[in-house]
Amino acid sequence: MAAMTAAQSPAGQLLSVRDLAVVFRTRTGEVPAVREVSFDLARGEIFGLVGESGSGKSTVLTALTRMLARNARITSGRIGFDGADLLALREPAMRRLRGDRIGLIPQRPMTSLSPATSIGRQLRWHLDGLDDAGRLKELLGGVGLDALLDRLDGYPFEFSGGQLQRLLIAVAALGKQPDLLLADEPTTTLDATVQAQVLRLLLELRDRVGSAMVFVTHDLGVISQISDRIGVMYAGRLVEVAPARELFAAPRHPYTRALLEAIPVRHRRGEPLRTIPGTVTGANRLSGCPFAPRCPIALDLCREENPAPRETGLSLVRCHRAGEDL
Amino acid sequence: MLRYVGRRVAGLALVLLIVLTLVFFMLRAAPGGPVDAYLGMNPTPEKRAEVEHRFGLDQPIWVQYAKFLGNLASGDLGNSLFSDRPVSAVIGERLPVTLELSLTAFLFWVALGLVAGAVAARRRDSFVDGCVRVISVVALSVPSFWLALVLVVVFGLYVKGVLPSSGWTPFSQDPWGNLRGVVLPAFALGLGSGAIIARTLRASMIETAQADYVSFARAMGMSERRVLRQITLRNAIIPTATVIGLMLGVFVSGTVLIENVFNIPGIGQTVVGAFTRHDYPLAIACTLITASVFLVANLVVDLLYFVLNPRIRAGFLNGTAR
Ligand SMILES: Nc1ncnc2c1ncn2[C@@H]1O[C@H](COP(=O)(O)OP(=O)(O)O)[C@@H](O)[C@H]1O
Ligand SMILES: [Mg+2]
Repeated sequence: MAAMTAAQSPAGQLLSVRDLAVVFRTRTGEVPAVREVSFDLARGEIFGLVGESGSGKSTVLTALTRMLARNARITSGRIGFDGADLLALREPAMRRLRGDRIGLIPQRPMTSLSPATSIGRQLRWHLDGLDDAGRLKELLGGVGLDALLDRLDGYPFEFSGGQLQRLLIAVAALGKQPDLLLADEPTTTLDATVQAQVLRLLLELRDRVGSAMVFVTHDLGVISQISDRIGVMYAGRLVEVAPARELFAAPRHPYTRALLEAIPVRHRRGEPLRTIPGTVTGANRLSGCPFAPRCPIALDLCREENPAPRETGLSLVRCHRAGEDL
Repeated sequence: MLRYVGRRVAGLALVLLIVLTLVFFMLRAAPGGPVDAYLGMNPTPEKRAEVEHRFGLDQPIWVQYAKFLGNLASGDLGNSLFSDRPVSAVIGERLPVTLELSLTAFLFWVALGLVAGAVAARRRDSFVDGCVRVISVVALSVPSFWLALVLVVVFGLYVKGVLPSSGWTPFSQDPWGNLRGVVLPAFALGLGSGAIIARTLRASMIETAQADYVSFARAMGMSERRVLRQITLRNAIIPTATVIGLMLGVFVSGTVLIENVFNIPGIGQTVVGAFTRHDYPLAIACTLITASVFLVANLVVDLLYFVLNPRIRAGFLNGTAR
């Protein structure tokens, strides 16, 4: 899995996000949902973005397609995609990238196809050349949906979530073969066995199609199965980025450590399950480190100043105490 | 599908029978009667008895009802008590007038409502959207009788000769005059419904625009135009069709008021006269025809809904829906 990540020079990156910040205007004022987020992605690489609900993962993904809600504004940053600056593109040029070069696998397959149109017609909306029966067969077969070949006049509500997610993957990944595939918790609405199948399918497709992927989830178990590298988000900030193995073997940020300790599989019998004390509420407005109020090793400095990213081992960590032997 | 239509038509006949029965007894239970209306003040008892006998009103009510049902079954609606013309002839004369008025108003206001709603939703928060929202609220709060009276007064007294504000020119006599004559009454008849249709479509398009399936289509690079046409509009039209179906009643029953204000010789005008003069056969016939038009139109909208909404169709085919 990690084989492709090694030795990628920054110049060869497919995607490079720098200092991305997104603000939502709401009735109660401006919500800085994403701040100072930077990461790179090589061709064919899978980058997992993990963090609890509300940490800004979806906002980052949506910013990459420039399809943010009407009340959202990208206040700073640069998104380099294959040499182009996505934030400087005009809308028609951006639209040409969507689907063909930047694909999306949505979070809720059950509601992601129009309920009023047959799935066969919707496949034809997005993909050319489907009148060729061989192509259609290849496409559906590629995601294990051969059985759907003679049900294409059916409507979305006649299929299961797993079938629909495969169908969406057939369109977005296999059909379009984009350079970059964005997946926003694509398995959270599916039950466990289907979830595993879909993950396997995505990995298999990465090898076949070669798309790079940003894979968002709040589930560390899922992300460990699929990612080459992992970014951990907390309150709108990317607090740690590390190769997947490294992150699990040697978590550097106190939040990452707390997160790993809270995983049930690591939990030994008889030992109380650890949860992180405190609350994330309001953390995205703090000027210092967002995790400081809950951090067991926070210093006064942590509350005053947000740490700059530091290279620590193979990880990039935003922690004032990174590298200290604790 | 055919069985469904068959069942609906049977149900429709039953509803008509119930409505006619209700009207039959209500007419007879109402104070006064055709005899008084026919003979005027202080008739002699002999005269009364004679007319009562002629109208068949001296028989027990259940005999009258049985006769009525018998005649109805054989398609005979009887003669008007006053003009003595066959009621079917009166209806045949007046129904086309009402249908023309209703249908014109319906088509015009549905089309305008849909276009206004779609444009407003598409250009949400723009000047056009603001206009649609303000105008539709005003249109909704104007009572149609008031609007009709204002139109009659304005076009009858102040801007004469622009559009006829009273009376009716048959199409066969003067097509252009006929069309000009239908403008004001049709406008007054459907203004409120048009506003409701526009607001419904606007709201459901705005809601649909936030749906996951719209985001996914856009994320796949579909153009805004195609998203609008093939997805947003296609889905938003489903709840709007329900509302249009509900509005049908307004286009049918509203003619009573509009025809009387604009002095149009349609069913709506006839029905008022028939009820006030206790012209039983004519009143029943008017009820029959109005209810039929309404029920048939309703059936058509239901079938349209069936075509528009695959979920209903599938539910029906699987036997989970009616
Ligand atoms: N449309 C919106 N309007 C206002 N605030 C929003 C909107 N979408 C997201 N947010 C806020 O932005 C933050 C990040 O949300 P999101 O990116 O959805 O997080 P995640 O995907 O990690 O659960 C949250 O605090 C959320 O409340
Ligand atoms: Mg999310």
